[in-house]
Amino acid sequence: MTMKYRFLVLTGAFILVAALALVSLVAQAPAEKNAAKTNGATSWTPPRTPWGDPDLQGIWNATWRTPTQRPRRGEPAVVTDEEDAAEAIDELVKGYDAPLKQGDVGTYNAFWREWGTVLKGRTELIVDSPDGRIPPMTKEAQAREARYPRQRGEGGGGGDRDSNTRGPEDRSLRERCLSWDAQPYTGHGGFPRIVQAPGYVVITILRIHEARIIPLDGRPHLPKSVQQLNGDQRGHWEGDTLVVETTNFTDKKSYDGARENLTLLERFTRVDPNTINYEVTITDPTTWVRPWKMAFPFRNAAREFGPDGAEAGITEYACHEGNHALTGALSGARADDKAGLTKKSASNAR
Amino acid sequence: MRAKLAAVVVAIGLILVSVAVPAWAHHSFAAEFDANKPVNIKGTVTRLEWVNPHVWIHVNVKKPDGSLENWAIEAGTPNTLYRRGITKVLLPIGTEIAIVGFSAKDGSRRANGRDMKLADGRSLFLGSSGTGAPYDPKK
Repeated sequence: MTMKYRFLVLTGAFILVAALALVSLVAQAPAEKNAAKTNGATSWTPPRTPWGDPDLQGIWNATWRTPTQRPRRGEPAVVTDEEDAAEAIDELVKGYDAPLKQGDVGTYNAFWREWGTVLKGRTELIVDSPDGRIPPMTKEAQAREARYPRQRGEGGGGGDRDSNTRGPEDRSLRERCLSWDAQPYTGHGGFPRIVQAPGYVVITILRIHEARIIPLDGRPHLPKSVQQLNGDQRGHWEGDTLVVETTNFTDKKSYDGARENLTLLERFTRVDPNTINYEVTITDPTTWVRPWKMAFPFRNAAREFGPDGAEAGITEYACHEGNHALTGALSGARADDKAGLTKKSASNAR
Repeated sequence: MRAKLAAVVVAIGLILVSVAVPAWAHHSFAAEFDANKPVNIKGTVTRLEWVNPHVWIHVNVKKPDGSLENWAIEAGTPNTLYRRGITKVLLPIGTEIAIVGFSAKDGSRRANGRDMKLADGRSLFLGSSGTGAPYDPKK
């Protein structure tokens, strides 16, 4: 490159950078009003904790009616507008006034369900998949999961008599009040409470109240031989974004078929007082042909439920003490045995 | 508009079934309750377990011979109920209540409560979303 050419290139670059800086400076004031819109790129600055970390603390609501993945071709469309959603719920719950459908114990009243709200304009929580769906499983994973007896409570409950529960080990970790999902913020896990201390962030969720303790001091992950129910978290700040990598999961828990080789990479960015933008990249080459990513906001739960609401809506999840359902499932299985209704299948007990 | 609404209703229904059941089935109903044993229970509230993972409502039922039989009815979680505007204040001891649900497989006096009605005819845990609960979608 000649001297003159180099000079021109450098000058051009300088002018470009200066222009961009000027534009962003001018854009800053109105952008503050719309800070919630852009995922991870915002001009609103979160307040700081006394020791200087961005403050993400609070009780957040991550429940969304929007499903994880897009419906298949031919399945009905997802509601993306709040107004339509309200009307649709009214119509739906009118239907639950109808008499019980005998033989269908799954007609659990819609009243009991977390309706969440519609994530406006979105048809799924996945953001990086061309078909909006979880990537296909590898052949290895399909074979593995076929051999691996799925615990009865891992999805699909309510369809049959759900029998052959030999003991508690045949029920899911959730039903046993032991552990919630690996990726805990979708579905019913969805009320993360974030607490910070110097060098740490701790996130607990509503269900089963497990605490994910995230050290920020750059220590390495645990050795691969050490497996934990919620994996092993390591966090650091990238600007105002908390980045958390989780590895060391256990095969005792399945996240859509992924077990001990699962890695989660999460990003939490508070973009305004009432919103944290959340992203998670989910990787397991032994399970899916490629990684996949979800993104959705956390909403300020206190603001939604009113001044006392955040506490009143988030009750203590003293799970074991109230877990009559597990003893009910066990005695139900013994009743099925007596009636000769037990279906034979592999036990999950190890 | 009608057709659009119908499509949306079906969509919501399918979403609630396809998404809510795996996430919602933190226990499986069919493991505990019998789809072939629906039950109608009328009685008075004797005790409330306003706990996670499920609220349990204990009800005294008067049998034809005058004796009392106590049933335990499984309801939703305190948090979901709160968001529907239901707290235990609405069901003081002695409240008359009528419950429709499925009874336990093991023959014990437990049922999964689906619909509940108070003596004044109000349907609790049921019906229109417009219960005025803080979190209900606005009409």
